[in-house]
Amino acid sequence: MGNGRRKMLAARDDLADKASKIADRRGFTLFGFINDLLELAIKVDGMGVSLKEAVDAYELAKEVKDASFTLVLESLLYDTAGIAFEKANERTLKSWYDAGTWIAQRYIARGVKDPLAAYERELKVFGWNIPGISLEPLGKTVSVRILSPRFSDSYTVLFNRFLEGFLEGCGYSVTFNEVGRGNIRLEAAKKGS
Amino acid sequence: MATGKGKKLVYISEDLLDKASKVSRAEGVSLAKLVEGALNEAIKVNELGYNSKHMAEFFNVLQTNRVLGGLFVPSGVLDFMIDKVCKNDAQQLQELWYESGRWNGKYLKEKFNDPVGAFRDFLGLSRWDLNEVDVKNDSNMVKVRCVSTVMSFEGTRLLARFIEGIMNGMDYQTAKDTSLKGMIILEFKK
Repeated sequence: MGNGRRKMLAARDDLADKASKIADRRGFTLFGFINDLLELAIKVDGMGVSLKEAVDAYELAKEVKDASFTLVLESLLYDTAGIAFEKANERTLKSWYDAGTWIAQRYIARGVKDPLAAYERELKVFGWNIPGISLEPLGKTVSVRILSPRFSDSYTVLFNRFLEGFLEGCGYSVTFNEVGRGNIRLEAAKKGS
Repeated sequence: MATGKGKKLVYISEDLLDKASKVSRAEGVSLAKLVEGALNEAIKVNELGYNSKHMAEFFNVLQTNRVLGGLFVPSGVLDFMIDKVCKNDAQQLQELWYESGRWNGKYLKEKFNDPVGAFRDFLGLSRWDLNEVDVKNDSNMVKVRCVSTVMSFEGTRLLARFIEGIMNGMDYQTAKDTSLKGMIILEFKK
């Protein structure tokens, strides 16, 4: 590695101890381990993000992977959704609604205290095609606003149905819904309130 | 590792330190904070069961997907739309997936020094429904093998056409296709 010269830097001892244990387990020296990390920090900085942002995205990606999401190209998804919507409107809508309910129930089953906030967080990291995302709780109601000029007509309707399923799964009843291409507004109230 | 009051001194390569100093200045934090932050993140990544090398590859693929317009979609709805609804439009869908693959292949070819390697990472890290992804690059031949225990016949055909599009987009010609339900076996030559 370069000129092979080393410098010393102070690090919090609890972190250094944990890192030392991980390095041991992985068969690295602490020097090798820390240098590997710094190389990674420099690499992701070159991609325009901090190491923390990269690790957060990585952690979320693992969560969505475990939640059975698949990565698919946007244009393919819109085209496929368009054909499906045209061919079997009701059945396709139901599959998106069921998927939304399933995601909500998965959060609840895992003991997530605030599924709305958790989903909003995931959507903000991975909803690259959605510049405007807001899931705002107001007491026992929630207001959802999705804005994306890239959504196709059919995809907007399907995604709206997914959100409806998600809200129902979280224990809300939809009280207001407005859908236009790339524009979804939903309001829902906690069931029994 | 030398010890101090609540701190330990760790050795760092001088070359890396210079580059890291630039990163810390750009992020507006001290170098010590940057190293501590990196240690924190390393511990988190380790708890997730991965290592930093895997994370760098994954993040690169994720960023590429972002550029290409990749979206996360519940597998169930995608499978439903492909298998149950679009079955009668198989030809039309396959053409869409092929063309999309070709576009992506061209992009990978332009962006990466080793586009076949990037494609392997792209496939392995983005299609989690695949149990096995094997891409062998021997001189002018590329062999692709994907195995999934859950993929339907329609899903297999679409993914096979998508892969064919990617490889054709990277200027490889399809030499052999012996795919079956849940198993894609494709060979390409330059």
